Amino acid sequence: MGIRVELRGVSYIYPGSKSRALKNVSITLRNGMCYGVTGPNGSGKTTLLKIISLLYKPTDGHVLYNGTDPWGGDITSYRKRVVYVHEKPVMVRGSVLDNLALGLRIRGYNGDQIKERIERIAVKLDLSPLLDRNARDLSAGQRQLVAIARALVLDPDVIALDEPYSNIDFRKRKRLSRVVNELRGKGKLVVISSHDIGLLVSLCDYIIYLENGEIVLEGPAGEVYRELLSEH
Amino acid sequence: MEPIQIIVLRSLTISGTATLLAALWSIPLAYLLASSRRFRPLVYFFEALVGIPTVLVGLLLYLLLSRNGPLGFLELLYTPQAIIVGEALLITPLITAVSYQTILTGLSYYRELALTLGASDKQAALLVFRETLPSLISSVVMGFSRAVGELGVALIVGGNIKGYTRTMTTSIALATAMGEYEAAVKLGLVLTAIAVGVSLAVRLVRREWGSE
Amino acid sequence: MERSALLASAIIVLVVIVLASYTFLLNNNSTIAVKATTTTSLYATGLLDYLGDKFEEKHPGVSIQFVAVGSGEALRRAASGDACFVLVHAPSLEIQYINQGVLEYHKIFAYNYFIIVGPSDDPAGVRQATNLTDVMERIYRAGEEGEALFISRGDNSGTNVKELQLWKMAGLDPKGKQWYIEIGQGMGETLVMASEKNAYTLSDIGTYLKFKKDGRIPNLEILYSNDTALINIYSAYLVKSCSGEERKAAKEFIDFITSDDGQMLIANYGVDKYGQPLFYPASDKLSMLESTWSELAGQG
Repeated sequence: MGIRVELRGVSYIYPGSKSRALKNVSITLRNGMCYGVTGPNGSGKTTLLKIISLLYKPTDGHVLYNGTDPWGGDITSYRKRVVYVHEKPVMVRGSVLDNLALGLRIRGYNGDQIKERIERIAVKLDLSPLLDRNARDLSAGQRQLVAIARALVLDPDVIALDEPYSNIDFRKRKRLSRVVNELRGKGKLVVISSHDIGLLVSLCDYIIYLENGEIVLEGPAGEVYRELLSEH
Repeated sequence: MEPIQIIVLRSLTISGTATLLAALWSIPLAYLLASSRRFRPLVYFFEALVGIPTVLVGLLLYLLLSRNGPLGFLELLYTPQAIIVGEALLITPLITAVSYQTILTGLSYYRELALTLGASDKQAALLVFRETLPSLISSVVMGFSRAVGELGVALIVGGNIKGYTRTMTTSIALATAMGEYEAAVKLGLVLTAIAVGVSLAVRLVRREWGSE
Repeated sequence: MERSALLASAIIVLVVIVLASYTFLLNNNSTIAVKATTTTSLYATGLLDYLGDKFEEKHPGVSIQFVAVGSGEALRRAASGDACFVLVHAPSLEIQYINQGVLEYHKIFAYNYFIIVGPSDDPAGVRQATNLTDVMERIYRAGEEGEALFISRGDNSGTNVKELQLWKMAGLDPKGKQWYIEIGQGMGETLVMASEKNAYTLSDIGTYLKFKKDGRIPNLEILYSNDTALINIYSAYLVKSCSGEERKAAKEFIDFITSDDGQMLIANYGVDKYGQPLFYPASDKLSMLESTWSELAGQG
C-alpha cells in the first residue's frame, strides 16, 4: 500500500534561528507520483524535503501520513517507510557494500537477505564493480549513486532525493531517471529537489516552486513550466 | 634513584588509568553537550578550563584530600590514587571539549543518515559513536599526553614518594633540584619518546581504519 | 567484524596490563606506611632515603615515605595531619608549632653550618668581613652601589628563615631592593641562579658541596663560614595527631636516627664522595645544640 503525505500549515524554524525557513506550507502528495521541488537557493527546498521525510518536526502545523500524524506516535516505525538522500551524502567507514548494508543491518536483516537485496540494487544502478571499493575513495557522483542505492535497497514507500543530479554525469542520469519512473510505476511517492526545472519537468508529474519558504507556484509539470517561461 | 623502567611503568599506569577514567565520563558528557542545546553554555565552560594550571588542580585537590579537609577521611593524600583522580579531573575539560567538537560534527553527518535509514535514537547514537571512534580516541590520547606530562598534580597530591608515587615528571623535578641534569634529561627524553610514540601509534591506527 | 574482534582483544589486553601494573606498582605492599614531611635541601642530599633504606632493612613491613617541601610548608602540612613525623631545620618556626601543641618528641639528630657563597671576585669584600653583621652590611652596601646581587630562596624554608634572621640581626631590610631577588625555589635552583648571575646567597653546606662537586656552580665559592651563628640544626618531631602503628613506627625511626648506629650513618654519609661530611651527628654536642636551638627559636 502506498502512502499519501499531507502538509497542513507547516512552518519550520531552525533551532537557534528566528526566521521561518518554511512558512505555512500546505500541500498533499499522492503515491504513484513524482513531485519536483524547485526555487532559488535558500528558498526552503531541503527543509521541505526533510519535513516530508520526518527528519524535522514542524514547528507549527502538521505532517500526516495517510491521515495520521507520525510525530504523535512511534516516529521510528514511520521513518522506516521513508528515506531522504542528502545532496552531499556521507559514507560510513568501510566498503561500498558496508554502506549499502547499513540500513538493512539497522533493520535486523540476516546476511543472505542483505546480500540478495544489495546485488539486485547494484545491478539496477550499475554499481556492481564498486562494491568492494572503500566508500570514502569514491567520486562525488559515485557517492550520490551509492547513497541513492543505500536508500532504495530498503524498499521505502516515500523517497526524497535532494539535488540527486548535481554530480551525476549524463549517462548515469538516464539510468536514474528510469529508476524514478519505475518507482512511480510501483506506486511509490517520489519527491525530488533540483535547480534544473527542465529536468524536473521531464521527470515529474507535479512541480512546487518555493520562494522564501513559501509555495509561490504549484501545479502539473507542463503548466508550471509554461507559466515560468512566460514570466521571464 | 629507582630504576627508570619502574618509574616509567608507574607513570604510564597512573596516567593511563586517569585517562581511562576521564574518558569514561568525558565522552558521554560530550555526547550530552553536543546533542542538547540546553547544555551548550557548559561547552564554553569546559573550553575555558582546558588550559587550567596543573598546580591549581593539585592545590585544590590537596585542600580537599588533606586530613583536615572535607575528604580527608578517604586517606587518599600522597597515594597514586590521588594522582589518578587529580589527573583525571585535569584532563576532563580537554577530552570533553575536543570530543564535543568531534561528536557535534559526527551528529550532523551520521545521526540524520541513521535516522532516515530507519534507526532508533539508540541505534543512531551507536552509529555516531562508531564513526567518530577514531577521532574520539585521538582526543583521549591528547588527554593522556597532558596527564603523563603534567607535574603540578603529581607533585602536590602524590608527594614524589620514592617507590610509591614517584612519576617521570616528579623524578625530573627532583633530579633537577639535586643537580643531576643527566638523569633529568634522560627521563625527559623517555617522556618525549612516549608522547611521540603514542601519537604515531594513533596515526597508524587511524590510517588503518580508513578515516584519514 | 574481524576488526571489532581485534579492537575488543586490544582493549582486553590493555585492561589486563593496566590491572596488572596497578597491582604491582601502585599498591603499597608494606603493611605500615609512615609519611614524613621534610625539607627539600635535606631530601636532595639523599641522606633521608639512605637512612630510610637502612631502617626498612631492620623493620620489614614498614615503609617510610618522605614528602619533600620547604620547612615552613613541611610544618604546615604536618599540622594539617598529613604526616606522622617531620624533619626540619627552622627553630623559630618549629617553636610556633610546638606551642600550638602540634608537635612533640623533639629530637635534634644532626647539624651543619650555613655558608655565605658568592662570586670568586667577591665585589662586596665578604672575605674580609670580621663577623656576620659585617658580612650582611658589606653585601647590602655593594647591592646599593649596584656592585652585587643577592638571591633569596623566598620560600619560607629553613634556609630562608635563617637568612631573614641574619638581615634582621644586622638591622637591615633588603626587601623590595632591586639587587635583592626572591625566587621561591629550592636550594639547588637558588645556587645555580646565583652562579649564573654572579650573585651572593645563603646555602646549607650539603647542597653546596653536592652541586660544587658536580660542577653545576662553577662561579660560586664559600666566602664566609664556620661561624657558630651560622649553625644549622636539624630536628625530628612526632606529629601529635598521628596514632597507632604508624606512630609507633615513626617513633622507632626517630629513635633509630638518634641511636649510635644512626648517628654513625649520618657522620659518614657523603664522605667518600665529597671528601668531607655533609652533616655532623648531634649526639656529641647535644647540650650545646639544645641551648643554641632555644636561642634561635627565640629569634623571630
